[in-house]
Amino acid sequence: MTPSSRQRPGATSSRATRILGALTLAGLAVLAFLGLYVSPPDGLQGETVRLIYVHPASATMAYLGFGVCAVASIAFLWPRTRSYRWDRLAGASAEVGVAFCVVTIVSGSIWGRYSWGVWWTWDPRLTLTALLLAVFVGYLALRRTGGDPLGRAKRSAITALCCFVVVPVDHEATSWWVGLHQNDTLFRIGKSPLIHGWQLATMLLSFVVFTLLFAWMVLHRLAIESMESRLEDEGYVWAIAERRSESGPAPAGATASSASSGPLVAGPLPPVATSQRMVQEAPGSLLAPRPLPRERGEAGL
Amino acid sequence: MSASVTGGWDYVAGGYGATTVLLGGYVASLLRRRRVLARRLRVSGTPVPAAGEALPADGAGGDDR
Repeated sequence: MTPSSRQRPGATSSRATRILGALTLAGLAVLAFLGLYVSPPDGLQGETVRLIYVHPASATMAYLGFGVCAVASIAFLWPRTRSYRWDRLAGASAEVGVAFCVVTIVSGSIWGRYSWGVWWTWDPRLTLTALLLAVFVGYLALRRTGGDPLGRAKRSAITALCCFVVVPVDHEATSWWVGLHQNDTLFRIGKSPLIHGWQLATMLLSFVVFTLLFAWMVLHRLAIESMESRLEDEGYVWAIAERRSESGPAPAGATASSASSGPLVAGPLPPVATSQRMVQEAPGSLLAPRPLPRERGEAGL
Repeated sequence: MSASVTGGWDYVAGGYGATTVLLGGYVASLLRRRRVLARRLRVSGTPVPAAGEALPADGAGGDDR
């Protein structure tokens, strides 16, 4: 089956992502039913224990997003595996991770208001989670800076690895320092989980369902990155065609549609290998005053 | 605001509601951005990649590898 047959005309989703989306929606419905109706209240925390089916799974997805970002950044920095696909995956997973990190902080704040009596306190886990959010928002801002695409991707990859250092420190914060935030509920070394029965089953299901949601989000964010990249290449092609038209009559076929339908530059346009070369060529040639082609007796570039 | 051991449904509603709004809003923004970009690509005649579809000839390549 070819990709085009898997993709409906006019749609930007594939059959796999539609199935994944349907599974995620069904899983969220089952999770809501189990979490809000079937699962019993806790003797200590009452009904608010139901937040345990949202808050830890969100935090885990945030860690997963930042972890995928770090692995993809390593793959981009490694010369043998270098590809812009890794750079795009790093950006997509980091953004999804930031979304889940915001959910973690908001749902945790609501839970903390009930348990501790305050919306926010400078507990080590809370502080480090806020720091984690801040550094990865900074990482996403860095990815938006202009300039040489390869240099930007390298800078972003190195920054992602520096930001990821916060993740293990944040996870271990409840073990290393004394604070208000409780320690691990499920994965306790040498000890059984703190919850059982429907509570345990629902919590485990929350991790599965949130992982499906994470995968769906990353796949669609990745498609957006790919489309933005294609549009960026399209912009370079337009810029080159415009630059050439300034110097002389545009060669036949040097239209955006012919250039965009295949490789980066197609047909009569001389090959321009990478966008990096375009960036290097552009400043001097565009800014320097040049005589018109007719005055110089030149045609084209 | 009083909070008894057996109570707390308002906090549960707040937590689930905030999660739904935040993640739902992000999903909606993803779908909207995807739709807008796909429209721009179609106008220019460029093939639109589906979610999960890899791009061809995608390496950074050159001397920088």
